[in-house]
Amino acid sequence: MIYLDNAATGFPKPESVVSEVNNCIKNYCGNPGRGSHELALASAEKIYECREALSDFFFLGSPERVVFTENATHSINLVIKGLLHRGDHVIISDMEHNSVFRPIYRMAKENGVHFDIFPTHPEERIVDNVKRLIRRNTKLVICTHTPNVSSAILPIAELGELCRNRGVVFALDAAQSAGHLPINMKDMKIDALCLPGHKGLCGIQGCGALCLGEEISLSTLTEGGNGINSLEADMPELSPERYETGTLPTPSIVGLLQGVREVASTGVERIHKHELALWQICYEALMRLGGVEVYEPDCAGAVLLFNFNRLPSDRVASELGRAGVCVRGGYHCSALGHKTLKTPPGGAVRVSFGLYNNEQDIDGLADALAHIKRKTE
Amino acid sequence: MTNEIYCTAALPSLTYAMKAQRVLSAAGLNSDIVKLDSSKTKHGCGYGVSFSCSETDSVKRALRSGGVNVKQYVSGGGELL
Repeated sequence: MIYLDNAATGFPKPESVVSEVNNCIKNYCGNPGRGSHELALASAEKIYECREALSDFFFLGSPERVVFTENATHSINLVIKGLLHRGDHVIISDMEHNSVFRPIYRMAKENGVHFDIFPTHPEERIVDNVKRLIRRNTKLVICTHTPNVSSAILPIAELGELCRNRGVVFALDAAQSAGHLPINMKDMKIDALCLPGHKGLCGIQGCGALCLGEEISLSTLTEGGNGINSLEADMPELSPERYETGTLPTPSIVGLLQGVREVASTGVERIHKHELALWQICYEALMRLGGVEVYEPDCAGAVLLFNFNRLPSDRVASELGRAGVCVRGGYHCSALGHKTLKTPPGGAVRVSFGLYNNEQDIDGLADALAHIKRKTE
Repeated sequence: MTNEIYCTAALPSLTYAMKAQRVLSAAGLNSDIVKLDSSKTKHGCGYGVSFSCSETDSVKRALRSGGVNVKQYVSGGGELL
């Protein structure tokens, strides 16, 4: 089996992740923050270690401002719904995943929030485009670091600088960049960083995180028990417990801790370089096959989007699946991205690379596509 | 043999208790994370760190310089420090 769907979820997981998740489930998976016995404290200790690891990895400088969520989408919803009120204005890009677009759309439809979409093409005008859209009531700019349907990288440090100077909160959807591209919250002036645990950071499915800058305080998205101040009706004021309700998924958080350690020891720059090389090899292989349209061919990285021989993307993905090659067709939950890239009805095929892919995987993809070509011509 | 008396720094949450323990450890001070006695807390469940009462001044100094917000310090006998 050849796995080229790392933008959906990273696979396989590092052995150390699998081993520590197993160890947690077998040996110390108490309920963190719900007692003072050995297992509860052992879980809590690992969870705090994960807060520290994420805080260090993303240069947040404050483990207690790492909030565990269900996934990146949950983190994004927490920022959008915890920050915006009736009459506020928010700016997003034309490459957003539905994780950003749908909550914004609903806030506009039902809660009187206004939004604008900035074009990401041409790249050199992005910052000016955002600058032009900022109004007196603009409260938030939230955008992807790199989309799930292209390897373009938005100018995050410049956007962060602009937002900081204009008093606008800057939130980043790092679903496709965490563990793939360097992220420094301080240097890039990111106020809220939304992360999945199971993609580039090599954890398992079940948790994400929201890293919050010091100045940011949000309304809560959920309320409930968290083991603190049980006699009070209000949620605690301080992060992270203010935003974390119910039992945290300790095995998943332990997997994320181990995953971040793996990524940090490999080096995110090295991972990016590896993915750039794979993208180039894949692009050249597709060009040799012929009949391929690649979207954003100037942007190399972890994602390569294409259509093949004018076949419907889901048919190509399905044929590849039968040949043991895992890719994804369709619209990838990104109506905005596909519209911007002008893909045809039915979307496109996405190949996405990760830490464990190699050149042989690309050869396998090319062979399978050549087979589909012979069958369909 | 000495009977050491332990004091407690009550903290806003278990996360802050973890943070406090690391700050104290970095300052060379031993501490344990403890769940506060719910019959004595105003707001219900809470956590803190316990430490030797003889090191109270050093603990207060370390936590203050480490930016750890302590709700209150309690002596081994239960009175506020």
